[in-house]
Amino acid sequence: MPTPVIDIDSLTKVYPRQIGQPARRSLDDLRLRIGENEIFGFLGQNGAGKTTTIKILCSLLRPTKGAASVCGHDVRTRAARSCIGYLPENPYFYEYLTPRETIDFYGRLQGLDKATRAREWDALSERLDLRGIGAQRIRGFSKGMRQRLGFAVALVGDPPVLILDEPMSGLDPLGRRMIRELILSLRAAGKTIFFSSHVLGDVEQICDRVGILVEGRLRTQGRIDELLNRRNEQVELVVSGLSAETADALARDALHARRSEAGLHLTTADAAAANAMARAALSEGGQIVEFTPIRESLEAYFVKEQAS
Amino acid sequence: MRPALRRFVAMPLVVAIGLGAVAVLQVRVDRAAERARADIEDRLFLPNERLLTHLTAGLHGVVADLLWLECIQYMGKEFHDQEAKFTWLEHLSRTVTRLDPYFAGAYEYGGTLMAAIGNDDGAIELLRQGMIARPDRFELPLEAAKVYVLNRREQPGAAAAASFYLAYAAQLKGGDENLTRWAYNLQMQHGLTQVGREIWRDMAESGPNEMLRDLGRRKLIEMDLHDIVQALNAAADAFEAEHGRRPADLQELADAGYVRGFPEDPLGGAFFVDSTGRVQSTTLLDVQAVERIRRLRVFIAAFRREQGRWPASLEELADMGYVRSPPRHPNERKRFHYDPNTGELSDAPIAR
Amino acid sequence: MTGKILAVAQNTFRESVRDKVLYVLLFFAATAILGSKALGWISIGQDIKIVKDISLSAISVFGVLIAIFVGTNLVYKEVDKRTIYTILSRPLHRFEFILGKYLGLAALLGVVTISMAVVAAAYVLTLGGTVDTTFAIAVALTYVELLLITAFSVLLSTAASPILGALVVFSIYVVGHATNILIDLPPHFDDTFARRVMELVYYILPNLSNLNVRAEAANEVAVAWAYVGWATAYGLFYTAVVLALAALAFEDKDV
Repeated sequence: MPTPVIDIDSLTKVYPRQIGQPARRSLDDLRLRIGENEIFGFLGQNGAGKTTTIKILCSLLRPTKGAASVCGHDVRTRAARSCIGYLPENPYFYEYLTPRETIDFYGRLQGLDKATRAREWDALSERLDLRGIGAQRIRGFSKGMRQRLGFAVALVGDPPVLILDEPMSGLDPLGRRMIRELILSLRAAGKTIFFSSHVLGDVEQICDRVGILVEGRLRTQGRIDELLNRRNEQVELVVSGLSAETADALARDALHARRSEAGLHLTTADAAAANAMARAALSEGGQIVEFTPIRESLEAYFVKEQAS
Repeated sequence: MRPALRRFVAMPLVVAIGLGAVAVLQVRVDRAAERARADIEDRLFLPNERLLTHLTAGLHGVVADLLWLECIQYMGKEFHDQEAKFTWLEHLSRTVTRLDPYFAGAYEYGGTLMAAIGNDDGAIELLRQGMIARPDRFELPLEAAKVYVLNRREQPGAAAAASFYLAYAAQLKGGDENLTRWAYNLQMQHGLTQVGREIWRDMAESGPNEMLRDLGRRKLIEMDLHDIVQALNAAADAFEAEHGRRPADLQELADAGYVRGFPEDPLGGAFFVDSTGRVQSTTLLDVQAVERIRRLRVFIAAFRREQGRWPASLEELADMGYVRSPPRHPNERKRFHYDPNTGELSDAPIAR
Repeated sequence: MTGKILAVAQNTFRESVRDKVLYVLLFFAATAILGSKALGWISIGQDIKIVKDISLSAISVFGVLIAIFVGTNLVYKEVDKRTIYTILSRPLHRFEFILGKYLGLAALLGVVTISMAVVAAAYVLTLGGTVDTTFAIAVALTYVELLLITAFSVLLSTAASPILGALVVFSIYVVGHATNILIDLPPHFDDTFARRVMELVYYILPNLSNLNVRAEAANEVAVAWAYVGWATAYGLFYTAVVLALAALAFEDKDV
């Protein structure tokens, strides 16, 4: 791998003991490297340590052990922070400001001059469709509006690295699609994107690579298809209009079969078997009502991983 | 900077250097304050009274004001009360001026009020402290002069002391021609009574509030009563020279043609001839009684402090040597009422 | 660097101006100042003195309450409402953030102090009194007192909940006015170890009575310029020390 943009080197974070609460190890010896212009999906269940990792990268938390760097700068330095655009989970801003004032404020924290800040607003309000609400107070904003504003804030100063904490949680399907497209367009613009999620569906469509975090340890990383063994995916086939004998014959060949109003439900071991069965059903005068790959969910993966 | 370095070196360093420098600055602040305050404080404060100031969280000025208002209301109430005791006036005005040592008004009117009830020692003491704290205010030596003129006119050197304070007051900002004239009159051996009358008239006409104007008017009347009593006694002396005995009552004096009609007391009192044949004014005797009660209370308190109990009677006070002779009411037709259970002394029967 | 501090300060000012507590306290302060005459009328010619006493004390007390209630919330609220995440992940030093928060509230208190002082002075003038240099000095030193109290509030705000912080800072306020107790000891303490310890404590604790010349102002007694200078230096230096501690305490804090 060429020089990584994000280099996480054996990070460990232990939250100190507090009253009524013992010390808690949140991250344990995490090592991770993310290359330039990559979209990296950081997966894990709630409490696995995703947010802790992200907060360390944004220097909101200090690691107990280990180090991390962004664009070659230690994450504790301001140089590292000026490379990062950070979108926290459920971003909060000053409620009494308008989006325009908010962008201006973060522009000032970024050290941008007045003319640049005005240009930032023009560009970002266009890109994230904030122009119509630019003069409204944030107080009354919906979840989707806040998320768009959060993205705009993360993009202030055009940082090369974007760190997004659960960017799609709580959004409706339209909102999720918008964020997906946005992330892809940012990759096209040359950014490196590191985002966390606990929902596999969000990740698999856009990520180049994923890392899976289980209880503070990195369980595995790589291409998502390889990780989830996508080639050996079961398929559920629903056919109707078959004679009783044909149906019985097909049911015998399937891993599992049942009947419903819609027709005969057949589960096959993989896509090839499903295709063969579909051809047989069609040749016997049946109709294919549904052809659905049964995808392994992240939850199932975790259950499997934890069992092993 | 590494976190450990910051925690174990930088923070203690900031604390040590910072607080060290703070201490040095505190020394400088104290030194700068010393010139202004030490002079006053050393003479005015007792340790326990300092505590009060420190515990007001910086509000000692306001607390002084509120106590002062309390003090005035207390006085106003006591003035209209037959059983007036004025027990707390000295203590209150002392506390007020401890809380706010620059409170010129409290020294001035505290002195006036104390003098008005006959506590001229307390008044002079308070005014002296006031002159130390506020050497710029002419009102304070003026008040002190008034106490000498009005309360201590029978004492030797009163004219000299009053004249000294008046001359001092006249030099300060705000001191007017009256002061110079009074001082001049005193030096020219004009009677203290005459100057006193002028002071009271001045207060009756242009006193700062109704209570003090009332006080001025009352004191003027008392001086008139004093003159009337003196004139009646002169008539009685003439009666004695002619008849070889004192008149039995005022009627006899009038019948013999020594006085034309009976004078009236605007304060509601009466004139009478006492058992020694001297003419007296009940109003003036009552004023004396208040003064005597105030002094006796001091001795009763001293008795209690030293003996651990209240004296059984006023006679015991004399037997134990606290006073020279058993105290008597100045008006022979009245007597003091003393309660040995509470140590309360009054010139009217004590309500049970 | 100054631009970033200024950005945080301006925002803090805007935010604090919207705090309802501010207006409740200002209302009480105005009532105290304008109502002070009611107490003055029975005071035998002391009404101006009493109006000045109450006005200057109101500026101090309500200023301190604002400094405590708004100040102990400053950093805590940012953490609690998570607005701090997007701010500290920007290229600015954490001390710049602390300083900006502090200066924003200090500016607000400046505006509050000046407006209360102007109202009080105008009121005194309408009542026929005079407003002299000592009055202005008393207001200025009161503001220095507020600066120090605000610094303590910010320090506590980085480490404790607002309620605990307010209690601690309020205790500092009360104790800071009472430190003279430690050196006004009865004579039987002379030459004892206890006396030396208490003297040491006296020199270290914040001495807020240094900054209190309100009684002098109400009585129109002059205050020496040397005193004003040293007292101001004391207050500002102590403030700087407390702010430095706040910045250091916040530097490694997990948010």
